[in-house]
Amino acid sequence: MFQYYCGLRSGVKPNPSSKRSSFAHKISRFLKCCIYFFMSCIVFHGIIVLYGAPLIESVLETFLFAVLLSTFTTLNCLCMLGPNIQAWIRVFSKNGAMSIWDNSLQITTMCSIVGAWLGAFPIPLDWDRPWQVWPISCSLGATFGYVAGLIIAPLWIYWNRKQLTYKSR
Amino acid sequence: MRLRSGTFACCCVLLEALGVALFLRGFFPLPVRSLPRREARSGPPAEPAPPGAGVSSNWTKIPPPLFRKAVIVLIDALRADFVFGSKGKQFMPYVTQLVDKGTSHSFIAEAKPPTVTMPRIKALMTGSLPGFIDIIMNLNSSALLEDNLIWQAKTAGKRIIFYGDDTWVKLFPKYFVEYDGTTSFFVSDFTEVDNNVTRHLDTVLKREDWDILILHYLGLDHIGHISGSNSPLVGPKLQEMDKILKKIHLSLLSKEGEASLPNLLVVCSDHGMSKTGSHGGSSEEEVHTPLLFVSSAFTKRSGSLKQPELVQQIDLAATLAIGLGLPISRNSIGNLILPVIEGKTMREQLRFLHLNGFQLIQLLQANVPAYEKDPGFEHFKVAEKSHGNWIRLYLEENSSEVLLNLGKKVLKQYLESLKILSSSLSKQVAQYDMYSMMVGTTIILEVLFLLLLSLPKALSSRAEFEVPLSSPLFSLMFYLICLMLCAVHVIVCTSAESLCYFCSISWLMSVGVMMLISALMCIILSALGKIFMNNKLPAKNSAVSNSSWSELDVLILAGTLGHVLSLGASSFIEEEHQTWYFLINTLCLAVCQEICRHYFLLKESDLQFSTVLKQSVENFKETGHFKQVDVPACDSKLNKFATSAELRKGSEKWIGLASPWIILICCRLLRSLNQTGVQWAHRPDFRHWLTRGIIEARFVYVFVLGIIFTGTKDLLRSQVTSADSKTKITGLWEIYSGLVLLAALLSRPHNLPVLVFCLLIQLIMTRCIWTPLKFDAAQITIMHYWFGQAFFYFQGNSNSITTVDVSAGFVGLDNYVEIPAIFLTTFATFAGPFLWAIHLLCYLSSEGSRHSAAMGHGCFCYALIHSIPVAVYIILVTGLRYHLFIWSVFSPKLLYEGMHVFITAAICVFFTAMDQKQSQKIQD
Repeated sequence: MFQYYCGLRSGVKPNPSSKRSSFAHKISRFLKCCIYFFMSCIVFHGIIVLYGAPLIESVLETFLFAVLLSTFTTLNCLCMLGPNIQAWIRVFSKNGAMSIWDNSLQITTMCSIVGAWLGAFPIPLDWDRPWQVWPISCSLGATFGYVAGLIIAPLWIYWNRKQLTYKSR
Repeated sequence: MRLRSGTFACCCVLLEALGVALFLRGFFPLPVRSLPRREARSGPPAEPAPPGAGVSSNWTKIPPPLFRKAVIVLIDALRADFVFGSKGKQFMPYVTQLVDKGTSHSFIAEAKPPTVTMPRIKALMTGSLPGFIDIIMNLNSSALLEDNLIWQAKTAGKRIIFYGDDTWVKLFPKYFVEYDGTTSFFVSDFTEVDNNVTRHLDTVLKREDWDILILHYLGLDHIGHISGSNSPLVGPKLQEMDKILKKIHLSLLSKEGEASLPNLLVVCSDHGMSKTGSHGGSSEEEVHTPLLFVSSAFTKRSGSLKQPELVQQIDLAATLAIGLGLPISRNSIGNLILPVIEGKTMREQLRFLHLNGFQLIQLLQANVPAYEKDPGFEHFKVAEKSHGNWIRLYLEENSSEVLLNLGKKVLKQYLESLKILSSSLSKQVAQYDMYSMMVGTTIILEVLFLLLLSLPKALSSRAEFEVPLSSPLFSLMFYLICLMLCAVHVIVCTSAESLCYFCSISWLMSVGVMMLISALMCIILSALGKIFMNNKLPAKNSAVSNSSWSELDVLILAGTLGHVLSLGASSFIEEEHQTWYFLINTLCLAVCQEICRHYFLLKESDLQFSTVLKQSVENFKETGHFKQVDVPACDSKLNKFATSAELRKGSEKWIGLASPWIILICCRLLRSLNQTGVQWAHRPDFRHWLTRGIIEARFVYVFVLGIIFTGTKDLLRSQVTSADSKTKITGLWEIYSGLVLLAALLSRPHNLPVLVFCLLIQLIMTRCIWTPLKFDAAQITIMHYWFGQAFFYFQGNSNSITTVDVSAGFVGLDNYVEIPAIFLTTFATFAGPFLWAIHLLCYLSSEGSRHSAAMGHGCFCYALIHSIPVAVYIILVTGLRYHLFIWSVFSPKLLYEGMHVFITAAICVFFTAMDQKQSQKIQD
């Protein structure tokens, strides 16, 4: 998985922008990325609590689940798009994808979120299994969703390679 | 026949309600009954005749009573561990001592759900299992017509005195020589209600003019309802009960000296209580009740008791009947509790068991056509034969050793056969009237298909379509199907083994239903044919419609399907509120995404627009050299206008973006207000109970009626004088506000925040989401339906009968009046869905000027979205009718769904009435 990231990173960042645009700039971008990541964790945590997760008890588990979700979604976006809100909005609006990378990003993100969503369903069942405890099933769902996304994305791109015509900006 | 889609949906829902009613009638079976009580009863059976001629037993009468006087103390909601557990040791020392060392027999009696007072009293006194449907009759407990212990005692000339819950007085009118009923209506009172019973005790215990004394204490149940089973109030109440029991027992003992027969004290309970203090369900705490027989006839216990034996609650009726020397009531399916008669001779014991078995066999014969094949019957015959042999040996006076051993063997045989008989009889209770169920299901399914088939046309912009009525009605097929169904009806009804409701209604009505079914069938077929004909011509339509699906549509479809599928699992039914909370959360997030897209796309177009504007201004400047003075002013004005518009748009945008989050937070707060369901019910919530004033409530009723009256007046005026639609909209809003006021009056005090948040969310939704984003009527209807469902659970309802707030039916009433109480309870229970539906009506009619077909679409969607789960659920329940949880989980949900269908029908009729007026006005 990590190799995949690195591959994406090296593939996506073809703009060395030559000027070695100052080390400080890179650092600030990195810091921004970190802040964004942390904020996304908080936002995910908030949404999970709104969905009915207990507010105080098992707060650590909930937060770790939020971190996991952000790793599957926000981290990818940060790696690919950088801390650039406009680009994010473009990618996640309808017909906004401009490259196959954007498409794969859309698919993996959607799949992991839907996986986490579906993972909540076994919780109310009275089977008394150890994996029904919050938030194990949701984490499993998110992970499986992400893996499914990784598998689906290349397949989907291969399938629709004829229809994919990206307008360049 | 041309029909508007609203009218069409209304007809469909009304038909569906008919189907659901038929299904419910078939699903909830009547309890096992033998012949009516008044009919001549064959005398009690004699002892089984010993084989061989010459010898015969001369014991043909009912055996004499074992006890002289009996005192039955029923403590409402006394849980088994309140007596046998640590609480009992702490708070009930006298009873504990009786249980451990006294002359007593103690058992844990298992009550069958529904664990509600009236069915339990019936079960205790008749020994039969009241059907599930009895719970509906729980409020207006009319006189019990079945054969029961009290009636038997009365006819045997026993004098019965009763003090306690007035349910008994209603159930057994005129049976008591003296009674004083206390009402269970004032739940917050738990001292007076018991003192009113205890105050009679001293005088009654001194008197000699009674044979049976029944006491029903309600205080403990009230404490449970107010503050749960772990309340500090429980301990003192148990101590009070202990003192009362001690007093009764000592006084009974003191009287025994001169009498030949001992007295009996029975301590029992109708049901237990759950951890939160409520009852009605089937958890172990609610089902297990103590049962204590205390009499000097029993041998003294030595050493402390281990775990008390488990018996059935219905066994009490048979045991008491034997103990008091009465015939066992006919519908009893209980077994004699053997330890109680253990002190008697072997001959008497066998005789008692034979009586019990004979009564069960009679009941079996009355209810099962093929009773000879029942294993219990065969066992009983074998036992009877060996009983006869035993009697011959007894009369021939063989050695006692042989007699005892043989007698024990016969005893064992009898006990086994009794157990089998009573289990096969209780299975009989769960027999379904499959034919009525099938007919109901057929109607519901046909209606659903019809709705689905007409979906594309009904949601078209004209909102009206052709229902092919005349051609199918005069086709050969209609008559053929009709004839076939009638033939099936005759065959089924003549060959049916068990009772069938649909066969017992008049033949005219059943033929009418048959015609309805076949007509619906033909209409569906012809509609199908039409669709196929149309499909061949233009085959592109589907592709176009598919591509225009937004994420919201996908979510709505997936949510509906997911909810319908989840109905198959009992835990999902218990936790259905979780499903709805989950769905509306997701809906809010999807709406949020939609809003983001809307505003950000709008921003881009705005940018383009302003650049165009600026360009034009530039052009204007360039061309208008001669008006150079005016240009700057014009420019600044334009800029000012643009900035103010932008500012307004900006604030609107931020409010719009924030609104889904506000709604989400509201929902999260409401969710923790009432923890319903089963698994997480132990989480704390803020429920408490208050009594409400009667006069104030009546005052509010007057206002509600006034507001609704003005609303109706406006509506009628708008119809009669065909004034502008504004009058009608005001009328609708007035009715809506009247209903909100009524809901506020009826709901429990801690539920008022639910109502406030409901209004807030409706406001936010209307202002910030639906109106700016221009959703179509179908989407808005489904969102309303979802929110209505979620609010049903936010109110604290669940899919079990326990949570129905019966006290709402008494607001502003002095005593129980049937029709207003039913109406008020229904409204209070379904306030959430009802308010959202009326809000939908108001919203759509005020938007009606924009889109005339909106009302029809809304009505159609509302009917459809509720028909799908009902139809699927009914099929599921039919399939799962032998499931373990059918009575505890699935049946209450079925009752809720059935009630909801009737409410939906009412809403759709209201919709159509409004729509009709509107269409008339358009035509004018």
